[in-house]
Amino acid sequence: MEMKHEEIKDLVAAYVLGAVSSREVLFVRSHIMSCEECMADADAYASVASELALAVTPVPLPKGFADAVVAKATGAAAPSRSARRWHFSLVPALSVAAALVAFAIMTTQVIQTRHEIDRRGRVMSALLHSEEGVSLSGDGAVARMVPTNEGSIFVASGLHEAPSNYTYQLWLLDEGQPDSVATFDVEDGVAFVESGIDMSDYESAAVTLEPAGGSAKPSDTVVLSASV
Amino acid sequence: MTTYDDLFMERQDDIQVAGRLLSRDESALREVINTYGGVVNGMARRVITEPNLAEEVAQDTFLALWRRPGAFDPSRGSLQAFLLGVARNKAIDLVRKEESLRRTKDALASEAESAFTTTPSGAGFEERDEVREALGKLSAVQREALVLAYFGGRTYREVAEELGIPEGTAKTRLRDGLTKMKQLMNPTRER
Repeated sequence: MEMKHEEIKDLVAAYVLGAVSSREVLFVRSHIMSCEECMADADAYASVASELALAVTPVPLPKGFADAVVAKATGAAAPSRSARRWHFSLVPALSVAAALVAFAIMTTQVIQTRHEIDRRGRVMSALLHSEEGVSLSGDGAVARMVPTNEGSIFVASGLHEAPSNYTYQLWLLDEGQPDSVATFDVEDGVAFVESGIDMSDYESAAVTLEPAGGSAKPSDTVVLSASV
Repeated sequence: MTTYDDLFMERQDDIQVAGRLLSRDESALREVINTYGGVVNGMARRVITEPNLAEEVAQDTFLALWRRPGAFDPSRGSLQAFLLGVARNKAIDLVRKEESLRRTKDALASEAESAFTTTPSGAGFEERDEVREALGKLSAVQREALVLAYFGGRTYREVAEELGIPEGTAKTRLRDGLTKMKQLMNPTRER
């Protein structure tokens, strides 16, 4: 779906207000990220739009609300899964490949205790702050693709869920020629992809938005691109 | 007039609370709920008809902050603005899945009307009054479109359909409404 600058310029205010459909939103966002004029408009509108929230009249919450939230937050209920312990140190990425596989398994389980949240956060943080591989960014999200003993690991934080009938696709680029790594979904703002591909054959990476099932060649909707 | 220094001090509190949340301090979560629970619930109630569902949205908002305190970036706005944004997004997601949950156009309009015609909220709520005053100064059609989009969770196409206007007109009213709000709001405020 192609949308021209003139069309999108008209939509920036609606976009900032959240008044654009999930189908259109990524195309609008993608254009804004690459257009100085629309980006400036979006920034200007965003500061006003967030002030609109201040017009709201408070409505008191019932007694016990805070207790209920804190109980849920701290996982007051005992977790019923097996107590596996993941031990790993956060040193060079190459040495934590096995632990990261464990992390991949962890992300598919429901995370209920704060210990798991902390561990996951630490692994994410280590990956994202690693010096290895290539870092990507775009649209408020950060990501990194890191070589490991078995191939590579890609992790992203802050991506929105893809709209229905669409998926994200990770590509490695060699002289502009793209090879698909995998399609992936976002869960709770986090995405994680492990692959056997050797990154050293490539110079860059990117993430695009594709129709569900992925594409043979990347679309124009680039969501994350490698930082220079 | 709010100076930059005032804002910086106000943000210091937010930064401290965020730090405590990051180190898993439950008392910080309670404080945040006590301070912002009312407005977060108020935001959810603006968007969703059903009070229990609105309360669930409020709960999910605070849980989201607890699970990822790092998502709040003090350089981009206040903690209150962040929480209200999260609450609004969650509420809108809900009403987009189930249209019957959303506020009617008339309910939203009459609420918006009373919001800016009520007496001032008093000390400490100057920002709220300022926004309401600005909303009151928009043209009726701009305000109507803005309220439907922002609080009603309508897409611009739905705004057009509901108001019986062309899509282009809906987009223009939203754009002009926001532009005018920006001109009316305190120009020295930094965000």
